[in-house]
Amino acid sequence: MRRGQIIGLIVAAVLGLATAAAGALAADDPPHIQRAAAASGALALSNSREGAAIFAAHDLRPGDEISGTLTLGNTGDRTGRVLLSRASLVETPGLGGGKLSDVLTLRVEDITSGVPADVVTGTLRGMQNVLLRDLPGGATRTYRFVVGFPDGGPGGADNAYQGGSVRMDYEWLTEAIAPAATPTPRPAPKPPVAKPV
Amino acid sequence: MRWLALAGALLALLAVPVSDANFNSRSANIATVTAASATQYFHIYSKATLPPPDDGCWLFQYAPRRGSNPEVLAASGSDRTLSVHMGGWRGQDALARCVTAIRAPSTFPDGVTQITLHTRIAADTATGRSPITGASFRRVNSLTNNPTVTLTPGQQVSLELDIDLNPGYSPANRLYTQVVTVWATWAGNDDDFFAFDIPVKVYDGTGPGPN
Repeated sequence: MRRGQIIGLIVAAVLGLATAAAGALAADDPPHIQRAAAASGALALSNSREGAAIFAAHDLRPGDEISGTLTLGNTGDRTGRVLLSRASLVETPGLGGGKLSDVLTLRVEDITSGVPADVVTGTLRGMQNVLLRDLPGGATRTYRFVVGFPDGGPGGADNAYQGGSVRMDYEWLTEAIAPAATPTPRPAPKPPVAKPV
Repeated sequence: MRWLALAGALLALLAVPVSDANFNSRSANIATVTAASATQYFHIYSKATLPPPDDGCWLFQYAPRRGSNPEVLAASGSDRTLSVHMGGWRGQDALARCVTAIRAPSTFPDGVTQITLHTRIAADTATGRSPITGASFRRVNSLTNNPTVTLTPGQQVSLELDIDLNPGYSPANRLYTQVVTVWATWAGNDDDFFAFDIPVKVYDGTGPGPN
């Protein structure tokens, strides 16, 4: 084997080992920040409650309000467009036939800055898809979900919802925003060639 | 040895991830909500559904469907399935004893130590009439009726109804349905959310009346 060939082989082997090592380091990330997709560097979403419940409310009564928060992050280097989507809603009507999803209110707030900013407000059933602010690479946002059971007043207005239950499955979908195309530089004009006199 | 260098370079290339392609990333969460229920604080039973021990009605029998032959009891089911048919009461003005039994569970949630039961009666929606004029509670081994009653865990009372069809309405032989609501309150909760709405039929005639 020639010396140059040996050097080339060593360089190739080192490159392969370095890449493998980078992958191994990624597996040691803190467990509460879960990567939803293998990172190429372009875009990867992290969720502080990946796969878990944003909130689990038991024995909710008229007038009650409960909340849960999570932090979403873009661990890539490309800005991502983020969509919050309700993938499914499954419920069991209350003892009087009332459906909680018809009366429960949902408010999603962006509390990243410390000052709550409403993202969406409405009934639990009404919120299906919400386009959120673009998430730059390396940035994180914290969202708070607030669910309320409005008090319908006296006279048994809310009795139909007793014992009812509802489960929502939410998805955070993100797509990398393509960078603006770089214009092809125009070649500099050639200086005029002086004609010999 | 050329092939070794080539193989090494190829391995290095395979180890480098593909870059710069747009791809979707997604993450998922769940959220669940369950509403509270009156069944956490009390249950309403007919004689047939009352779990042991059945304290009975002390000196009285459970209210029958008046005029039924063979005699059947007025109440059937329990909690949300409870329904009551008092039968024919034309010409009667009396207290119907032991229409249903109400029992508190062995423990109350959230540190509650006792509950107070209340009632209200809605008129028949079709006519606005109210053959059922009152609802009250009576403790086991007592002859005293009260419009409200306090229960500690495990305690039982009976729900009893005042019915007045003396004289009856015109025309006669009409079936009336009223809703008797029983609800619970406790310290820190005066809402009437924790309630059962009991449909009660009364026939303004003789005999058991239509179903």
